[in-house]
Amino acid sequence: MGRLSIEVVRAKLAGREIALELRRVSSVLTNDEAQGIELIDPSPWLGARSIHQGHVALVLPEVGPPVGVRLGEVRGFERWTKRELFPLPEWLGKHMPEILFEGCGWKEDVGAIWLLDVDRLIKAWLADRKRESEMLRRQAQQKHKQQSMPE
Amino acid sequence: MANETDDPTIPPRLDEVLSQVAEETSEFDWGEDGGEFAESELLTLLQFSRGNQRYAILGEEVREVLNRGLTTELPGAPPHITGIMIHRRQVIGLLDLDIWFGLDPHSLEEEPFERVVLVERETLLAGILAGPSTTIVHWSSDLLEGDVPESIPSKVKRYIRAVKDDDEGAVLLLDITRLLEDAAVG
Repeated sequence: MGRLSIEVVRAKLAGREIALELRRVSSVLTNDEAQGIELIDPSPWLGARSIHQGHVALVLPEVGPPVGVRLGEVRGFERWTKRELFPLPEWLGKHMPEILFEGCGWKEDVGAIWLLDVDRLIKAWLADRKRESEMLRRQAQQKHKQQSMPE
Repeated sequence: MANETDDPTIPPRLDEVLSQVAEETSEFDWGEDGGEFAESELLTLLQFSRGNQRYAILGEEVREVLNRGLTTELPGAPPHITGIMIHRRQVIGLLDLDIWFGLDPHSLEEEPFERVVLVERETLLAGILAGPSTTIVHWSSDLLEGDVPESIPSKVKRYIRAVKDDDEGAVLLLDITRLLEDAAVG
């Protein structure tokens, strides 16, 4: 059996242990360094509030400009072998947030480490933005209609 | 010539009596109580408690009983899926029956779960949170024929196959297939 392994950046975000594949990260920045970069905070998808602090991973999406992914408190960089990866049973995967892979890492001192799926995170974030701008456009249209109606 | 054994004045021969007895007693005599079991089946179940309620699961549906280990909450999961644990390199999803059934949550604060009952139905494997006491019990299969009492809340009743009363109250036999289909798969 081949000794396949992946490199991850591990972090604690909104009280949860998370990991991000290092091959998708071009650099890890501090909050100050990340000023001016489009930022995605995974916290709301993990059932927590946005934190607006901690480290940011600069990620290169498959298409489009680089985006920053809020990581929270970075724990370090690790290499995981297959033995440290645990796929979730299908029924549990259905209950998982869409931005996570249906599997996790596991450490005896912390428990599960959830694996961020950058592509799905960006997709979910773009869908959210689209919904938001559509809502704003409708509100503006409605306001315009009300203003142009004769009294 | 008349059969010698038909004549009441002639004592029966021992070998004849023995063979007659052997024929009549070729099966175990279970007596009156045992007669019921001879017709019905004796089921082996695992009985456990959670909060103030006692449950039972058919032995064939129980894979293992584990001690409480390290667990992690599953982000975004409904409250009755309390988290996951790892056992023999498998991720086990944990179900809390009291939350699923909407039963007294205060009793759970006083009694955190101590064990996990691993249940299996076809390809589905899940852990049910249990209190410290788990025992093996035997029920007559006749109990499966009885009706589930109306006093059991409808949300709970859907998942109950049978009820057995004893000195300490009712023990509910869980319908694991239905429970996993609804609570796990959803």
